[in-house]
Amino acid sequence: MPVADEHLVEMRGICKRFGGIQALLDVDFWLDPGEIVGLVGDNGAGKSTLIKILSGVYLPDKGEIYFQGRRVHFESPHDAKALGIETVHQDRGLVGNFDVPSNIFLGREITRFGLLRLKAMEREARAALQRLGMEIAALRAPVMNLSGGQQQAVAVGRAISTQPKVVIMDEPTAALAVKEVHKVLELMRRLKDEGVAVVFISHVLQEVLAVTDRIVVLRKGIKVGDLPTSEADIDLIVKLMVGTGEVNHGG
Amino acid sequence: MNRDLWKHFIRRYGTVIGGVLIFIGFAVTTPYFFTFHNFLLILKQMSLLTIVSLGFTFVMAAGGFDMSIGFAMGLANVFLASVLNATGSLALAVLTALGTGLVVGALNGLLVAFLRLPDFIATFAVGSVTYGAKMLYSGGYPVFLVSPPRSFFTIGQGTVGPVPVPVFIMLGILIVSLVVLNRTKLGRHIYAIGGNPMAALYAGINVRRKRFYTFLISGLSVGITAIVLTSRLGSGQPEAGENFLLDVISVCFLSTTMFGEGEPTGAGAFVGAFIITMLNNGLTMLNVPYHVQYITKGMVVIFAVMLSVLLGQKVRIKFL
Repeated sequence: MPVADEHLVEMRGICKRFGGIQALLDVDFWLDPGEIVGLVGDNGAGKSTLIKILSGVYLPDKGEIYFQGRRVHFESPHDAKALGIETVHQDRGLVGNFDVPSNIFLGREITRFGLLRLKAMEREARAALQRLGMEIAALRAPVMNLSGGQQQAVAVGRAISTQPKVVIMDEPTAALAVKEVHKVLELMRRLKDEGVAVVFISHVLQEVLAVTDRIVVLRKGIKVGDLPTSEADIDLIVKLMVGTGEVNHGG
Repeated sequence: MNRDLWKHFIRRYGTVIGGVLIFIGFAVTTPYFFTFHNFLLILKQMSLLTIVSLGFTFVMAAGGFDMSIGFAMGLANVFLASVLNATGSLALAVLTALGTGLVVGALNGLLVAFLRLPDFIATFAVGSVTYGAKMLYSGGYPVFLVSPPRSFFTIGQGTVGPVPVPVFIMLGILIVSLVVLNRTKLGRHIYAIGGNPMAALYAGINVRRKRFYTFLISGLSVGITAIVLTSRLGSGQPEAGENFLLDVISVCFLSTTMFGEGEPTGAGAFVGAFIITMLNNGLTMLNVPYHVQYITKGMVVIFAVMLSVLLGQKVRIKFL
C-alpha cells in the first residue's frame, strides 16, 4: 500500500462519469490543515461532483483517496464523517419540518437508554449556534420557517459542532444577505485558525479571492489551475474557468 | 393575527374537532351510542385497525407506502391456523404468523429499499403474489381450528374485567410505537428520510436499511393483527383483513392531516382509527347500509385532506 506524503487529504486521479458525461477526469486534489482552498469553475465543471466524492455521497469510478496518509474508501457519507470530513451541501441538507436541534443532531442524536435527550440536544444546539455568533430565537420551529441565512447557520452549525478536521462548504454564501456573507467568511477564517482544512465553493470570485489561501480551478471535469491566492486575480481565474489559460503549480 | 390564529388552530385540531362533532352527532341521534358499553365496543372494534395503521405509519413516515397489508394478513391467518392444527403449539403458531408478516415485509423492503423499485408498484405486486399464495394454499376456504388450546381464544375474545384483551394489545403497541417514533433515533431517522431523503443521507443515516426496517415493522404489525383476528374468528380466514387496506389508508391520511404536522403520527393513527371505527359503529346504529359506510369514509378523508390543503398545510403524501 503506497504511503502518501504529508497532506491531510489527498485525492489522486479521480474520475467520475455519469452516463455519457465525463464529470471528472483524472483530478488530483489535496488539502492541508489550516488552509482554505477555493474550488471554482463554471456550472458543470465538476466542483460538486468532486466534493461529493470527498464527502462519501458518490463513489469515484477511478482514483484514490488518502486521509492522513492512509488509503480510505468512502461507501457512504457516514464513512467520511467518521474521519472528520463534514460538508455543508448546496441545498443545505436540512429536514424542513424538523426543528433546529433535530437538524443539528441529525444522525448523531444524544440518547440515554436508547431514548432521545431532547432538552440536552436543544441546550447544545443553542450553545453551538452561540459559538458561531448566530442567534435563532425560534429554536423549536420547523427550519423551513426560518430565513435563508438562519437555515445556513443551522447547516454550518451542524457541520462544525462535531469538531471536524475538514469542512467542505458548497456555495454557502448563495442567496445570503451581505451581512450574512461576511459572517460565513469570518467563520471560515476562524476554522482555519483552529487548524481545520476548509474547501470553499463559490461563484463569487471576490469572496474566493478574499478568504482563500489557494484556488483550484476546474473546467469540464479537468483541473486546469491550482495556484496560491496571492498569485491570482479575477482576470486570471476567469480565463482559466472559460478556457484561455492553464496554470498548474503542482504539489 | 386573529385570523392566522384561527387558521393555525383549525389546522392543528380540525380533524379532532370534526371527530368530536361526529361523536356528538351520533350521541344525539342514537340511544345506545353514548354508553360505556358501546365505548368499549368501539375500542375493541378499532384495535386491529389501529395496530395495522401504526405499522403503516412507520412506512409512511419514511415517505413510503405498503399496498400488501390486506393480502398478507390472510396468508398469516391460514398459516397460523394450519400450524396450530398440526402442532397444537400456541407458541409455534404465533411465531408462524409473526414470521409470515416479517417475510412479506422483508420482501417489500428488499424490493423498495435495496432494489429501488417504486414502493407503490413493488408492494402492490407483493400483495398480488401473497394473494395468489394464500388462495393456492387454502383453496379459498377457511382453515378451521381442530382442537386449539383454550388460551388461544383469550387473545381475541378474552376480557380483563370489562375490557377486551385486544384493547390492551392495541394500547401496548400504541405506547411502543409512540416511544419508537418520537423518542428514539430510529423514529427520528425515519421521519428524516420521509422529510428529506438527501438530508438524511448527508447526515450519515443508512437510508436503505432504515427504509427496510419500516417495511419489516409494517409486516410485523400485520402478523400481530392476524393472530388476534384468527383468535377472534376461530378459524384461519384467507380473505379476512383484505378490506383493511382501505381503512388503514384512510386512517393514515387522517393522521397525516392531524395536528398540522403534515406527516403521519402514532397519536394520529390512534385518533384516526377511532374516528373511522366510530363512523362504522354509529352508521350501523343508524341502520345505514354497510356499503354506504365506505362512501362516508371516503368523503371524510377527502374533507379532512381538503381542509388542510385549503389552510395551507403541506400534506406530504407521495405516490410512485
